[in-house]
Amino acid sequence: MSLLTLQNVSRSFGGLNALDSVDMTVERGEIVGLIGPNGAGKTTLVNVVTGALRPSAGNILFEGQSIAGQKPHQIGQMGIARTYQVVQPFPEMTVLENVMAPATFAARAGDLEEARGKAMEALRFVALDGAAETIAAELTLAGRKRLELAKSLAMEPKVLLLDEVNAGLNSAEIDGALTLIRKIADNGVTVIIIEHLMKVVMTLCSRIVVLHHGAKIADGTPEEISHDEQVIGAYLGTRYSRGLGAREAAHD
Amino acid sequence: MTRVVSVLIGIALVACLPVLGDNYLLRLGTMFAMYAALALSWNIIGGFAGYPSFATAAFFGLGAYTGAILQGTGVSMFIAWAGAGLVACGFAALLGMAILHLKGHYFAIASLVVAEVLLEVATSWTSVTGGGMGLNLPVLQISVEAQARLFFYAMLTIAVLALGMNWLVANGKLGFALRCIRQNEDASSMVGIDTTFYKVTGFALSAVFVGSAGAIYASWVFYIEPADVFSVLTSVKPIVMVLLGGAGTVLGPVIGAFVFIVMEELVWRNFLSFHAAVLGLLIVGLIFFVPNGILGLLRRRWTSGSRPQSSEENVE
Amino acid sequence: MLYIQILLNGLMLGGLYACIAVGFSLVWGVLNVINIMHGSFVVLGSYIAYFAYVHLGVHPFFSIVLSGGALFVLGYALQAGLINRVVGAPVLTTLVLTFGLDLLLNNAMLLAFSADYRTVRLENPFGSLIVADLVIPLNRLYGMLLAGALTALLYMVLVRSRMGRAIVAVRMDSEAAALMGVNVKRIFALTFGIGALMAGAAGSLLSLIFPISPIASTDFLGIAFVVCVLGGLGSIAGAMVGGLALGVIQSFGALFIGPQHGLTIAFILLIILLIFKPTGIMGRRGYE
Repeated sequence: MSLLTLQNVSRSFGGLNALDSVDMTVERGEIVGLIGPNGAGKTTLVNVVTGALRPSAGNILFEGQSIAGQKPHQIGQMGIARTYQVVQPFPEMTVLENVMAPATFAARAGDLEEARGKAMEALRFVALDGAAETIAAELTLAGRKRLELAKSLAMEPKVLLLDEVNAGLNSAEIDGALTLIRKIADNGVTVIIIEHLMKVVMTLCSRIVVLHHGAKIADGTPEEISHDEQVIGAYLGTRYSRGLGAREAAHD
Repeated sequence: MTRVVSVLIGIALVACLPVLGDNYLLRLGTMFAMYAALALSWNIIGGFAGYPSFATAAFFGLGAYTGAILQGTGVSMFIAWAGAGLVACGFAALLGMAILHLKGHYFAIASLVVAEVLLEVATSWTSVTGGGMGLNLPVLQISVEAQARLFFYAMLTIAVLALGMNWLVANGKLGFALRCIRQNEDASSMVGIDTTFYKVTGFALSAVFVGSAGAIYASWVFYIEPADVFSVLTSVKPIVMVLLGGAGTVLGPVIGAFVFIVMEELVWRNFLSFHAAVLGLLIVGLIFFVPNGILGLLRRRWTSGSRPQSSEENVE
Repeated sequence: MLYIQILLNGLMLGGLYACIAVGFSLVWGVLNVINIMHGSFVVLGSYIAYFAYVHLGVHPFFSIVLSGGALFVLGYALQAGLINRVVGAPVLTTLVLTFGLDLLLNNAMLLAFSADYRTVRLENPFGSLIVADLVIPLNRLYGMLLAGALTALLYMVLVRSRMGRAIVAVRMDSEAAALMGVNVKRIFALTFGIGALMAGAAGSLLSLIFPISPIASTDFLGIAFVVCVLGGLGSIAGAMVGGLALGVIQSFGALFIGPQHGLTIAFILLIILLIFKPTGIMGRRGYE
């Protein structure tokens, strides 16, 4: 049984089809990349899976159970966590308190002490434990991204959806983030990562799903995707993809 | 711990007020306790959760009429007061489920208008509420001094209970959830907080002691009418008190209530015909000069005076 | 026939309601400030009309220029001087502030004019038009037509004039407007002034129809709220639709449960709308 399954999921806003009959499965332990040009529907997909939006059509199964239409906090408690593209901390609370919230409400820590323990563990994992007493609003962007990650880890998730976790980071910070994500996957968390940086997606992911205008246009290994005509067409225009096909044929 | 001890000492001191034998002071003390209870209650939904509720008058009036009607059927005063609190709580839970999905201005208006509607209902439902002619309550057959003491202790009890509730909420899961909701409601949902449940619970709790205070008020003044107990000022004054003292803190509402009643009494005695205007001026001054309340001012004085700013505190 | 009369009554009333509400809606939509003083502005406009008639013999329909002008100055000054400092502040702050300012204004009016109700009694009253079996009081009819004209004028200003376009731009996105060179602070003050102007003008028109007293300010404020939520926020069309709808609903409601419950009907309607469809009939999303 797949861990997460999307069956024919659609989501429209007025006349706009943000998601168009998307079929997708994610197996336990995978790191799946979700890519596509801007406006392809990637964040909408994350919103639909986590319950922030209801699907207009289709179903979503998590561990075999239908979760479409459930409230975000219920889905969070079931074991699906996400980070936001534009980080969403609790600005006036300390870093520790920020992480104690998911530990208390999603991971159901029994009391304050247990919550604090789980929170510190998550903070140590992302190397933010030294800043535990800092007010969240005072962190740098890289720090806030790590805080976001720590919060989602404190939920003890089975699936983690990362929405452009590298946006705004410099090269060194990105390498750090990559190491962290690999560590998370090694710890048994299934990861779905939305990314624009090809270097990240190609090295990290075992499988890549490509969205374009809300529809899934490709689903395969990084190798397969990088040669897929439709994918190239979506990013660079059909002139390039057709040209590529001709060149490949000439090589054979 | 020392703060808890000093608060307990403060309560004990206030409880000794009747010893002074001054009925005027006792009346002031009773009003102070009532204001403190209202402010502390509002603090839960307005201070912790950040939802601008103007429903206090609705709960107060509902409590007053419930208490009066119950007493009219022969029920003992104390049971009537408790009953009023429960009715207000239940009403708030239902109302909360209906309007807490609204944000900002829309929530504020909805909560404000509820009191107006209840006022109209009270005015029209003459058979039950006496309509515009008001409702009389049974007069107590004890001395004036004994009455003054009784109502003082009754209001003080409610105020202390409200304070205790604030403290429990502030230090517990509910308070944590409400603080998260105030700072980022969408993120709160995402980290597993059932925002509807916690908001409705907070809203219901914010009504219990307001309802009881309304019922005690009704018994105290022996006569209530719709315009008196559903007045919009009953919604606005607790907000001003909490803003004055410091929103989202446990003691702020009490400090604000104290300062407010001192100023109100001074104005009543000296500028009766201007007193609405003076309240208006107080509000304007508050918004511009004391935006974080008295506790906010003090905190800033303490942190900037006693500790040097450490500039090398940079994370990452 | 009775129903047509009720409908007509409702429409005439509704036109006036729209005029009361349109300034309030504009301020709420553009500045995201609920101006609790709005009701008192209307009352002040009525008083200006009253005294202009009693002392200067100016007909209330003409003194809309006076009341509108005076209130514009008052509104502009208040916004530029005080309210501008809290425009970005949380809802609670702006609500409590305008509430406090209203306490001041209302108390001042009470002291100056006393709470006694006054009405403008014209030397040559308009009387009524009788068409078929329908009675159309002319002061109400003219009031509604003038209110409609004023509202249409405001609409033209918003759509055609440079200032109007700037106001609409600020309403849609104040940051983007600032980047385009719009002086947002001045637009805020102008908008608030216009809101006050419309309130004052409405007050002038109303002085012939409703009794005047500072106590009435909450009624006018309530009407403004309901019309905004009913019709949809921030648009003139919304205020018109909301106003007419409220007028008609109240008229029919008065027929079935008595005229003294007019405001209650309005408020119950308001709560139901807020619970189920806060964006109102026109469906335009209001600002939070």
